[in-house]
Amino acid sequence: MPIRDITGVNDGSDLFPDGTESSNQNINSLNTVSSQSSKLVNEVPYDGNQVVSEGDALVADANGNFVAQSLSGIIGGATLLTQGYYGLLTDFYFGGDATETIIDLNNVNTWVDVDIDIASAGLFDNRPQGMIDAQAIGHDGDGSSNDPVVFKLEGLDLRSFANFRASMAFVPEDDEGQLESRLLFNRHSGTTPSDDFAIEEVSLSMFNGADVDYVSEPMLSFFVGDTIDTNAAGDAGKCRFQIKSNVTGVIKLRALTWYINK
Amino acid sequence: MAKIKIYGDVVKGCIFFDGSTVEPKFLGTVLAEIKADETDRVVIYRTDRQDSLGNNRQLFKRINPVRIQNEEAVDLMDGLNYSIQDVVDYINGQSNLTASVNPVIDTSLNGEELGFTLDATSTSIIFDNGYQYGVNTIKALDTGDGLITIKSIEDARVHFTQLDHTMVDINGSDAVGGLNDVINVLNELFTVGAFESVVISDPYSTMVADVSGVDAGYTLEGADAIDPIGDDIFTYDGTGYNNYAGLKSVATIDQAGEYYTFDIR
Repeated sequence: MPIRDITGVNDGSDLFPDGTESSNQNINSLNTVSSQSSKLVNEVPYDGNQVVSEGDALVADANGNFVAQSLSGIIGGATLLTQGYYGLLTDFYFGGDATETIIDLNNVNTWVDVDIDIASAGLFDNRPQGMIDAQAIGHDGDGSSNDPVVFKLEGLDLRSFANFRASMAFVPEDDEGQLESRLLFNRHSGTTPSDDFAIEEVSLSMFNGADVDYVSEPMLSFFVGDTIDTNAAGDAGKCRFQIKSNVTGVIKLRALTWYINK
Repeated sequence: MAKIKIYGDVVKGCIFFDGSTVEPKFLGTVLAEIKADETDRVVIYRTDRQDSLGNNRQLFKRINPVRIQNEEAVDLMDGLNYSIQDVVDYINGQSNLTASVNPVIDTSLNGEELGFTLDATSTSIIFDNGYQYGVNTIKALDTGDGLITIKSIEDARVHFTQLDHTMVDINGSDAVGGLNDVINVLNELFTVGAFESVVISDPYSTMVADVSGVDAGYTLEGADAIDPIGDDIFTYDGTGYNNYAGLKSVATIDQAGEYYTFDIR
Protein backbone atom coordinates (compact mmCIF):
# COMPACT_ATOMS: atom_id res chain seq x y z
CA MET A 1 0.00 0.00 0.00
CA PRO A 2 1.48 3.40 -0.99
CA ILE A 3 2.44 5.68 1.85
CA ARG A 4 0.96 8.69 0.02
CA ASP A 5 -1.49 9.43 -2.68
CA ILE A 6 -1.04 12.58 -4.73
CA THR A 7 -3.37 13.67 -7.42
CA GLY A 8 -3.35 16.73 -9.65
CA VAL A 9 -0.44 19.15 -9.79
CA ASN A 10 2.31 18.77 -7.35
CA ASP A 11 2.70 22.23 -5.86
CA GLY A 12 5.25 21.28 -3.31
CA SER A 13 3.01 21.31 -0.35
CA ASP A 14 2.31 17.68 -0.48
CA LEU A 15 4.39 14.62 -0.51
CA PHE A 16 5.53 13.55 -3.92
CA PRO A 17 6.48 10.21 -5.23
CA ASP A 18 10.09 9.42 -5.91
CA GLY A 19 11.19 10.21 -9.39
CA THR A 20 8.69 13.02 -10.05
CA GLU A 21 9.73 16.49 -11.07
CA SER A 22 8.44 19.72 -9.70
CA SER A 23 8.80 23.38 -10.37
CA ASN A 24 9.23 23.83 -6.66
CA GLN A 25 11.99 22.58 -4.42
CA ASN A 26 10.77 19.37 -3.06
CA ILE A 27 11.96 19.05 0.46
CA ASN A 28 11.41 15.60 1.62
CA SER A 29 14.53 14.64 3.44
CA LEU A 30 13.35 11.27 4.59
CA ASN A 31 13.15 10.14 1.01
CA THR A 32 16.26 9.21 -0.98
CA VAL A 33 16.47 10.39 -4.53
CA SER A 34 19.23 8.56 -6.26
CA SER A 35 19.56 11.00 -9.09
CA GLN A 36 20.35 13.80 -6.67
CA SER A 37 23.94 12.49 -6.55
CA SER A 38 24.42 13.82 -10.02
CA LYS A 39 24.39 17.32 -8.63
CA LEU A 40 27.42 16.49 -6.44
CA VAL A 41 29.52 14.76 -9.02
CA ASN A 42 28.87 17.44 -11.53
CA GLU A 43 31.17 19.61 -9.48
CA VAL A 44 34.21 17.51 -10.56
CA PRO A 45 35.10 16.00 -13.91
CA TYR A 46 33.12 12.86 -13.95
CA ASP A 47 32.00 10.31 -16.45
CA GLY A 48 28.30 10.28 -15.87
CA ASN A 49 27.85 7.03 -17.72
CA GLN A 50 29.50 5.00 -15.02
CA VAL A 51 27.56 2.59 -12.98
CA VAL A 52 28.07 3.59 -9.39
CA SER A 53 27.51 1.15 -6.59
CA GLU A 54 27.09 1.62 -2.93
CA GLY A 55 30.37 2.20 -1.16
CA ASP A 56 32.20 3.27 -4.28
CA ALA A 57 34.75 6.05 -4.06
CA LEU A 58 35.94 8.51 -6.66
CA VAL A 59 39.48 8.24 -7.80
CA ALA A 60 41.13 10.43 -10.36
CA ASP A 61 42.38 8.62 -13.42
CA ALA A 62 45.36 9.45 -15.57
CA ASN A 63 43.38 12.09 -17.47
CA GLY A 64 42.31 13.91 -14.36
CA ASN A 65 38.79 12.57 -14.53
CA PHE A 66 37.24 11.05 -11.49
CA VAL A 67 36.00 7.56 -11.88
CA ALA A 68 34.16 5.44 -9.41
CA GLN A 69 36.03 2.53 -7.93
CA SER A 70 34.95 -0.04 -5.50
CA LEU A 71 36.41 0.25 -2.06
CA SER A 72 37.80 -3.24 -2.27
CA GLY A 73 39.56 -2.30 -5.47
CA ILE A 74 41.09 0.73 -3.86
CA ILE A 75 42.23 -1.24 -0.85
CA GLY A 76 43.60 -3.90 -3.12
CA GLY A 77 45.63 -1.32 -4.94
CA ALA A 78 46.93 0.06 -1.68
CA THR A 79 47.86 -3.42 -0.61
CA LEU A 80 49.93 -3.91 -3.71
CA LEU A 81 51.81 -0.78 -2.88
CA THR A 82 52.30 -1.22 0.83
CA GLN A 83 52.53 -4.85 1.79
CA GLY A 84 53.53 -8.20 0.50
CA TYR A 85 55.85 -11.13 0.98
CA TYR A 86 58.67 -12.94 -0.71
CA GLY A 87 58.73 -16.66 -0.20
CA LEU A 88 61.35 -19.18 -1.24
CA LEU A 89 60.15 -22.74 -0.77
CA THR A 90 62.06 -25.97 -1.16
CA ASP A 91 60.71 -29.26 -2.39
CA PHE A 92 59.70 -29.98 1.18
CA TYR A 93 56.40 -28.22 0.44
CA PHE A 94 55.96 -30.05 -2.84
CA GLY A 95 56.27 -33.60 -1.68
CA GLY A 96 60.06 -33.68 -1.60
CA ASP A 97 62.85 -33.03 0.82
CA ALA A 98 64.20 -29.97 2.53
CA THR A 99 67.64 -28.68 1.59
CA GLU A 100 70.40 -29.98 3.83
CA THR A 101 73.45 -28.12 5.09
CA ILE A 102 76.06 -30.11 6.99
CA ILE A 103 77.47 -28.65 10.17
CA ASP A 104 80.73 -30.48 10.84
CA LEU A 105 83.64 -29.88 13.15
CA ASN A 106 85.05 -27.35 10.71
CA ASN A 107 82.10 -24.99 10.97
CA VAL A 108 80.68 -25.73 14.39
CA ASN A 109 80.38 -22.59 16.52
CA THR A 110 80.61 -20.53 13.33
CA TRP A 111 77.98 -18.49 11.53
CA VAL A 112 77.13 -20.44 8.42
CA ASP A 113 75.12 -19.56 5.32
CA VAL A 114 72.31 -22.04 4.95
CA ASP A 115 71.87 -23.70 1.58
CA ILE A 116 68.48 -23.61 -0.09
CA ASP A 117 67.44 -25.40 -3.24
CA ILE A 118 64.40 -23.43 -4.37
CA ALA A 119 61.71 -25.63 -5.86
CA SER A 120 60.73 -24.96 -9.46
CA ALA A 121 57.42 -23.56 -8.29
CA GLY A 122 58.78 -22.37 -4.98
CA LEU A 123 59.35 -18.67 -5.62
CA PHE A 124 56.47 -16.52 -4.40
CA ASP A 125 57.18 -12.92 -5.30
CA ASN A 126 54.45 -10.79 -3.83
CA ARG A 127 56.57 -7.91 -2.72
CA PRO A 128 55.21 -4.36 -2.56
CA GLN A 129 55.10 -2.89 -6.02
CA GLY A 130 57.86 -0.43 -5.27
CA MET A 131 60.27 -3.26 -4.59
CA ILE A 132 59.30 -5.08 -7.75
CA ASP A 133 59.73 -1.90 -9.74
CA ALA A 134 63.16 -1.40 -8.21
CA GLN A 135 64.36 -4.99 -8.55
CA ALA A 136 62.58 -7.45 -10.77
CA ILE A 137 64.17 -10.33 -8.90
CA GLY A 138 64.14 -10.03 -5.17
CA HIS A 139 67.31 -11.87 -4.30
CA ASP A 140 70.86 -12.61 -5.32
CA GLY A 141 72.47 -16.03 -5.18
CA ASP A 142 71.18 -19.44 -6.10
CA GLY A 143 71.23 -20.77 -2.57
CA SER A 144 74.01 -23.25 -3.15
CA SER A 145 77.13 -23.49 -1.06
CA ASN A 146 79.23 -20.33 -1.43
CA ASP A 147 76.38 -18.56 -3.23
CA PRO A 148 73.82 -17.85 -0.53
CA VAL A 149 70.46 -16.25 -1.10
CA VAL A 150 70.73 -12.55 -0.29
CA PHE A 151 67.45 -10.66 -0.10
CA LYS A 152 67.35 -7.17 -1.61
CA LEU A 153 65.72 -4.37 0.35
CA GLU A 154 65.71 -1.94 -2.54
CA GLY A 155 62.38 -0.16 -2.89
CA LEU A 156 61.87 0.16 0.83
CA ASP A 157 62.13 3.41 2.71
CA LEU A 158 62.49 4.60 6.27
CA ARG A 159 58.87 3.83 7.12
CA SER A 160 59.20 0.25 6.02
CA PHE A 161 59.52 -2.75 8.28
CA ALA A 162 59.51 -6.49 7.81
CA ASN A 163 59.36 -9.86 9.44
CA PHE A 164 61.51 -12.74 8.38
CA ARG A 165 60.77 -16.40 8.99
CA ALA A 166 62.94 -19.39 8.33
CA SER A 167 61.31 -22.79 8.38
CA MET A 168 63.74 -25.56 9.19
CA ALA A 169 64.72 -28.51 11.29
CA PHE A 170 68.05 -29.38 12.84
CA VAL A 171 69.28 -32.91 13.50
CA PRO A 172 72.16 -32.73 16.00
CA GLU A 173 74.83 -35.36 16.34
CA ASP A 174 75.39 -34.53 19.99
CA ASP A 175 72.85 -33.99 22.72
CA GLU A 176 72.37 -30.78 24.68
CA GLY A 177 73.41 -28.41 21.93
CA GLN A 178 72.18 -24.99 20.95
CA LEU A 179 71.29 -23.46 17.60
CA GLU A 180 71.26 -19.74 16.94
CA SER A 181 69.78 -17.90 13.96
CA ARG A 182 70.41 -14.49 12.54
CA LEU A 183 69.78 -12.13 9.69
CA LEU A 184 73.00 -10.53 8.55
CA PHE A 185 72.51 -7.11 7.00
CA ASN A 186 74.71 -5.37 4.46
CA ARG A 187 74.28 -1.61 4.53
CA HIS A 188 74.06 0.58 1.46
CA SER A 189 76.93 2.88 0.51
CA GLY A 190 77.96 5.94 2.40
CA THR A 191 76.80 4.91 5.85
CA THR A 192 78.43 5.32 9.21
CA PRO A 193 79.01 2.74 10.48
CA SER A 194 79.46 0.80 7.31
CA ASP A 195 80.06 -2.70 8.63
CA ASP A 196 77.52 -5.48 8.54
CA PHE A 197 75.19 -5.95 11.47
CA ALA A 198 72.92 -8.77 12.56
CA ILE A 199 69.69 -9.50 14.35
CA GLU A 200 70.02 -12.76 16.25
CA GLU A 201 68.13 -15.15 18.44
CA VAL A 202 68.61 -18.51 20.11
CA SER A 203 66.33 -20.76 18.14
CA LEU A 204 66.85 -24.19 19.66
CA SER A 205 68.06 -25.65 22.92
CA MET A 206 68.19 -29.33 22.17
CA PHE A 207 67.93 -31.50 25.25
CA ASN A 208 65.91 -34.40 23.94
CA GLY A 209 68.77 -36.39 22.53
CA ALA A 210 70.91 -36.53 19.43
CA ASP A 211 69.58 -37.72 16.08
CA VAL A 212 66.25 -36.01 16.65
CA ASP A 213 64.52 -33.59 14.26
CA TYR A 214 64.24 -30.34 16.17
CA VAL A 215 61.84 -28.14 14.21
CA SER A 216 62.24 -24.41 14.38
CA GLU A 217 60.64 -21.42 12.68
CA PRO A 218 62.63 -18.44 13.88
CA MET A 219 60.89 -15.12 13.26
CA LEU A 220 63.08 -12.05 13.13
CA SER A 221 61.61 -8.60 12.71
CA PHE A 222 63.41 -5.47 11.65
CA PHE A 223 62.76 -1.92 10.54
CA VAL A 224 64.40 -0.35 7.56
CA GLY A 225 66.72 2.16 9.09
CA ASP A 226 68.69 4.79 7.29
CA THR A 227 71.60 2.48 6.50
CA ILE A 228 69.63 -0.26 4.78
CA ASP A 229 66.90 1.72 3.04
CA THR A 230 67.00 2.66 -0.62
CA ASN A 231 69.83 5.10 -1.11
CA ALA A 232 69.76 5.12 -4.91
CA ALA A 233 68.99 2.80 -7.75
CA GLY A 234 71.00 -0.33 -7.15
CA ASP A 235 72.17 0.91 -3.77
CA ALA A 236 70.12 -0.42 -0.88
CA GLY A 237 70.49 -2.72 2.06
CA LYS A 238 70.50 -6.51 1.80
CA CYS A 239 70.17 -9.35 4.23
CA ARG A 240 70.73 -13.07 4.42
CA PHE A 241 69.96 -15.89 6.81
CA GLN A 242 72.64 -17.69 8.81
CA ILE A 243 72.80 -20.17 11.66
CA LYS A 244 75.35 -21.14 14.28
CA SER A 245 75.40 -24.44 16.14
CA ASN A 246 77.64 -25.59 18.95
CA VAL A 247 77.22 -29.21 17.92
CA THR A 248 77.62 -30.98 14.64
CA GLY A 249 74.52 -31.95 12.72
CA VAL A 250 72.39 -31.31 9.68
CA ILE A 251 70.24 -28.27 8.94
CA LYS A 252 67.17 -29.10 6.89
CA LEU A 253 65.90 -25.85 5.44
CA ARG A 254 62.32 -25.84 4.26
CA ALA A 255 61.64 -22.22 3.33
CA LEU A 256 62.65 -18.60 3.74
CA THR A 257 59.99 -15.90 3.81
CA TRP A 258 60.09 -12.15 4.18
CA TYR A 259 56.83 -10.41 5.16
CA ILE A 260 57.10 -6.78 4.15
CA ASN A 261 55.37 -3.53 4.99
CA LYS A 262 56.48 -0.61 2.91
CA MET B 1 89.77 -31.90 15.89
CA ALA B 2 87.94 -31.14 19.10
CA LYS B 3 88.68 -33.76 21.72
CA ILE B 4 86.30 -35.10 24.32
CA LYS B 5 87.51 -36.53 27.61
CA ILE B 6 85.25 -39.31 28.77
CA TYR B 7 85.81 -40.75 32.21
CA GLY B 8 83.93 -41.98 35.20
CA ASP B 9 84.32 -40.86 38.77
CA VAL B 10 83.12 -43.15 41.51
CA VAL B 11 83.30 -40.51 44.19
CA LYS B 12 81.14 -38.09 42.20
CA GLY B 13 79.03 -40.91 40.83
CA CYS B 14 79.17 -39.54 37.31
CA ILE B 15 80.63 -40.14 33.92
CA PHE B 16 81.97 -36.98 32.36
CA PHE B 17 82.14 -35.79 28.76
CA ASP B 18 84.50 -32.86 29.08
CA GLY B 19 84.84 -30.82 25.93
CA SER B 20 81.36 -31.56 24.67
CA THR B 21 77.94 -30.06 25.28
CA VAL B 22 76.81 -33.11 27.20
CA GLU B 23 76.53 -32.68 30.94
CA PRO B 24 77.78 -35.47 33.25
CA LYS B 25 75.48 -38.43 33.58
CA PHE B 26 75.01 -40.81 36.46
CA LEU B 27 77.22 -43.88 36.41
CA GLY B 28 75.43 -46.85 34.99
CA THR B 29 73.23 -44.79 32.68
CA VAL B 30 75.49 -44.60 29.62
CA LEU B 31 75.95 -47.20 26.94
CA ALA B 32 78.31 -47.11 23.96
CA GLU B 33 78.32 -49.24 20.86
CA ILE B 34 79.80 -49.22 17.39
CA LYS B 35 77.44 -47.56 14.93
CA ALA B 36 75.88 -50.27 12.86
CA ASP B 37 75.94 -48.45 9.52
CA GLU B 38 79.18 -46.55 10.13
CA THR B 39 81.59 -48.94 11.77
CA ASP B 40 84.22 -46.26 12.23
CA ARG B 41 81.88 -44.31 14.46
CA VAL B 42 80.49 -44.82 17.94
CA VAL B 43 76.99 -44.19 19.25
CA ILE B 44 76.59 -43.29 22.90
CA TYR B 45 73.20 -43.59 24.55
CA ARG B 46 71.80 -42.64 27.88
CA THR B 47 69.72 -45.48 29.22
CA ASP B 48 67.69 -43.50 31.73
CA ARG B 49 65.75 -41.57 29.07
CA GLN B 50 63.88 -42.92 26.08
CA ASP B 51 62.40 -41.34 23.00
CA SER B 52 58.79 -41.60 21.94
CA LEU B 53 59.45 -45.03 20.48
CA GLY B 54 60.99 -46.32 23.66
CA ASN B 55 64.55 -46.24 22.35
CA ASN B 56 67.36 -44.98 24.51
CA ARG B 57 68.14 -41.37 23.84
CA GLN B 58 71.33 -40.72 21.99
CA LEU B 59 73.97 -38.53 23.56
CA PHE B 60 76.25 -38.84 20.56
CA LYS B 61 74.85 -39.94 17.26
CA ARG B 62 78.10 -40.79 15.47
CA ILE B 63 81.09 -39.61 17.41
CA ASN B 64 84.47 -40.15 15.85
CA PRO B 65 86.39 -42.31 18.37
CA VAL B 66 89.60 -40.54 17.41
CA ARG B 67 88.24 -37.59 19.38
CA ILE B 68 87.89 -39.51 22.62
CA GLN B 69 90.45 -39.15 25.39
CA ASN B 70 90.78 -40.45 28.90
CA GLU B 71 90.81 -38.26 31.98
CA GLU B 72 94.49 -37.45 31.46
CA ALA B 73 93.72 -36.15 27.98
CA VAL B 74 95.44 -39.07 26.29
CA ASP B 75 93.93 -40.07 22.97
CA LEU B 76 92.55 -43.57 23.25
CA MET B 77 93.19 -44.46 19.64
CA ASP B 78 96.14 -42.34 18.61
CA GLY B 79 97.78 -42.37 22.02
CA LEU B 80 96.94 -45.76 23.49
CA ASN B 81 96.39 -47.61 20.22
CA TYR B 82 92.88 -48.63 21.15
CA SER B 83 90.68 -50.20 18.52
CA ILE B 84 87.16 -48.89 18.10
CA GLN B 85 85.90 -51.84 20.10
CA ASP B 86 88.43 -50.97 22.80
CA VAL B 87 87.05 -47.44 22.89
CA VAL B 88 83.53 -48.77 23.23
CA ASP B 89 84.64 -51.10 26.02
CA TYR B 90 86.47 -48.26 27.71
CA ILE B 91 83.39 -46.02 27.70
CA ASN B 92 81.17 -48.78 28.99
CA GLY B 93 83.77 -49.59 31.62
CA GLN B 94 83.82 -46.01 32.75
CA SER B 95 80.05 -45.88 32.82
CA ASN B 96 79.80 -49.02 34.88
CA LEU B 97 82.07 -47.89 37.65
CA THR B 98 80.03 -48.37 40.78
CA ALA B 99 80.68 -48.65 44.44
CA SER B 100 79.93 -52.37 44.27
CA VAL B 101 82.81 -53.05 41.90
CA ASN B 102 85.13 -50.48 43.36
CA PRO B 103 84.96 -50.63 47.13
CA VAL B 104 87.20 -47.65 47.64
CA ILE B 105 84.79 -44.84 48.23
CA ASP B 106 87.04 -42.64 50.29
CA THR B 107 90.20 -42.74 48.25
CA SER B 108 92.08 -40.15 50.21
CA LEU B 109 95.31 -41.16 51.94
CA ASN B 110 95.84 -37.72 53.33
CA GLY B 111 98.20 -37.99 56.28
CA GLU B 112 98.42 -41.76 56.07
CA GLU B 113 101.54 -43.81 55.60
CA LEU B 114 101.39 -46.57 53.02
CA GLY B 115 103.82 -49.38 52.31
CA PHE B 116 104.30 -51.23 49.03
CA THR B 117 105.95 -54.56 48.38
CA LEU B 118 105.94 -57.21 45.72
CA ASP B 119 104.94 -60.72 46.56
CA ALA B 120 107.48 -63.51 46.36
CA THR B 121 106.68 -64.22 42.73
CA SER B 122 106.66 -60.54 41.70
CA THR B 123 103.17 -60.92 40.28
CA SER B 124 101.26 -58.91 42.85
CA ILE B 125 101.71 -55.54 44.46
CA ILE B 126 100.83 -55.65 48.10
CA PHE B 127 99.65 -52.55 49.94
CA ASP B 128 99.98 -52.65 53.68
CA ASN B 129 96.46 -51.23 54.05
CA GLY B 130 95.01 -54.52 52.89
CA TYR B 131 94.69 -54.01 49.17
CA GLN B 132 96.60 -55.80 46.50
CA TYR B 133 96.78 -55.48 42.76
CA GLY B 134 98.41 -57.37 39.97
CA VAL B 135 101.66 -56.08 38.57
CA ASN B 136 101.21 -53.90 35.50
CA THR B 137 97.64 -53.08 36.56
CA ILE B 138 98.14 -49.83 38.45
CA LYS B 139 100.17 -46.69 38.15
CA ALA B 140 101.22 -43.75 40.28
CA LEU B 141 101.00 -40.18 39.05
CA ASP B 142 100.82 -36.60 40.13
CA THR B 143 97.52 -35.07 39.09
CA GLY B 144 98.75 -31.61 39.87
CA ASP B 145 98.05 -31.50 43.58
CA GLY B 146 101.61 -32.31 44.57
CA LEU B 147 100.49 -35.64 45.98
CA ILE B 148 100.43 -39.16 44.61
CA THR B 149 97.38 -40.62 42.97
CA ILE B 150 97.20 -44.32 42.26
CA LYS B 151 94.96 -45.39 39.41
CA SER B 152 94.29 -48.41 37.33
CA ILE B 153 96.69 -48.66 34.43
CA GLU B 154 94.09 -47.56 31.84
CA ASP B 155 92.63 -44.86 34.05
CA ALA B 156 89.39 -46.72 34.62
CA ARG B 157 89.50 -46.28 38.38
CA VAL B 158 91.05 -44.07 40.95
CA HIS B 159 92.24 -46.32 43.76
CA PHE B 160 93.90 -43.86 46.06
CA THR B 161 94.59 -40.16 46.17
CA GLN B 162 96.49 -37.60 48.23
CA LEU B 163 99.36 -39.84 49.25
CA ASP B 164 102.25 -37.73 50.43
CA HIS B 165 105.51 -38.95 48.92
CA THR B 166 107.21 -38.67 52.31
CA MET B 167 104.70 -41.19 53.67
CA VAL B 168 105.63 -43.94 51.25
CA ASP B 169 107.49 -47.10 52.21
CA ILE B 170 108.85 -49.41 49.55
CA ASN B 171 110.00 -52.86 50.47
CA GLY B 172 110.04 -51.87 54.11
CA SER B 173 112.11 -48.72 53.73
CA ASP B 174 111.18 -45.10 53.45
CA ALA B 175 111.04 -43.99 49.87
CA VAL B 176 113.80 -41.54 49.09
CA GLY B 177 113.64 -38.44 46.98
CA GLY B 178 111.07 -35.95 45.89
CA LEU B 179 107.57 -36.44 44.54
CA ASN B 180 108.64 -37.43 41.04
CA ASP B 181 111.37 -39.72 42.32
CA VAL B 182 108.93 -41.59 44.52
CA ILE B 183 106.38 -41.80 41.72
CA ASN B 184 109.03 -43.21 39.42
CA VAL B 185 110.10 -45.73 41.99
CA LEU B 186 106.52 -46.79 42.61
CA ASN B 187 105.91 -47.26 38.91
CA GLU B 188 109.07 -49.30 38.65
CA LEU B 189 107.76 -51.43 41.46
CA PHE B 190 104.29 -51.69 39.93
CA THR B 191 105.73 -52.87 36.65
CA VAL B 192 108.60 -54.86 38.17
CA GLY B 193 110.88 -52.64 36.18
CA ALA B 194 114.57 -53.01 35.74
CA PHE B 195 115.26 -50.35 38.29
CA GLU B 196 113.28 -49.80 41.34
CA SER B 197 115.26 -46.75 42.31
CA VAL B 198 117.69 -45.14 39.96
CA VAL B 199 116.02 -41.98 38.74
CA ILE B 200 117.47 -38.66 39.71
CA SER B 201 114.88 -36.38 38.25
CA ASP B 202 114.09 -34.24 41.21
CA PRO B 203 116.22 -31.57 42.88
CA TYR B 204 114.79 -32.86 46.13
CA SER B 205 117.07 -35.84 45.70
CA THR B 206 120.59 -35.81 44.40
CA MET B 207 121.51 -39.44 44.50
CA VAL B 208 119.19 -42.36 44.92
CA ALA B 209 120.23 -45.89 44.34
CA ASP B 210 119.15 -49.22 45.62
CA VAL B 211 120.40 -52.05 43.58
CA SER B 212 120.66 -55.68 44.26
CA GLY B 213 122.25 -58.30 42.10
CA VAL B 214 125.60 -59.86 41.38
CA ASP B 215 128.72 -57.80 40.93
CA ALA B 216 129.97 -57.91 37.40
CA GLY B 217 133.60 -58.19 36.54
CA TYR B 218 135.29 -55.22 34.98
CA THR B 219 138.54 -53.70 33.88
CA LEU B 220 139.82 -50.19 34.44
CA GLU B 221 140.49 -48.23 31.31
CA GLY B 222 142.55 -45.11 30.88
CA ALA B 223 145.46 -43.71 32.79
CA ASP B 224 143.38 -41.83 35.34
CA ALA B 225 141.00 -44.58 36.41
CA ILE B 226 141.43 -45.78 39.99
CA ASP B 227 139.65 -48.20 42.27
CA PRO B 228 140.36 -46.68 45.68
CA ILE B 229 137.58 -48.02 47.87
CA GLY B 230 136.54 -51.43 46.71
CA ASP B 231 135.22 -53.46 43.91
CA ASP B 232 131.99 -51.54 43.65
CA ILE B 233 133.47 -48.06 43.57
CA PHE B 234 135.12 -46.54 40.58
CA THR B 235 136.40 -43.03 40.06
CA TYR B 236 139.24 -41.15 38.47
CA ASP B 237 142.36 -40.00 40.26
CA GLY B 238 141.23 -36.40 40.63
CA THR B 239 144.37 -34.97 39.07
CA GLY B 240 144.34 -36.18 35.53
CA TYR B 241 141.62 -36.01 32.95
CA ASN B 242 138.35 -37.28 34.28
CA ASN B 243 137.34 -38.32 30.80
CA TYR B 244 140.46 -40.40 30.60
CA ALA B 245 139.13 -42.83 33.15
CA GLY B 246 136.82 -45.65 32.16
CA LEU B 247 135.35 -48.84 33.44
CA LYS B 248 134.61 -51.72 31.14
CA SER B 249 132.43 -54.62 32.12
CA VAL B 250 133.59 -58.02 31.20
CA ALA B 251 130.21 -59.55 31.95
CA THR B 252 127.94 -60.28 29.00
CA ILE B 253 124.19 -59.82 28.97
CA ASP B 254 123.00 -62.93 27.21
CA GLN B 255 119.97 -64.00 29.23
CA ALA B 256 116.45 -62.60 29.25
CA GLY B 257 115.91 -60.27 32.18
CA GLU B 258 119.56 -59.46 32.71
CA TYR B 259 120.60 -55.86 32.99
CA TYR B 260 123.31 -53.62 34.32
CA THR B 261 122.80 -51.32 37.25
CA PHE B 262 125.13 -48.67 38.57
CA ASP B 263 125.30 -47.59 42.14
CA ILE B 264 125.90 -43.86 42.31
CA ARG B 265 127.28 -42.32 45.47
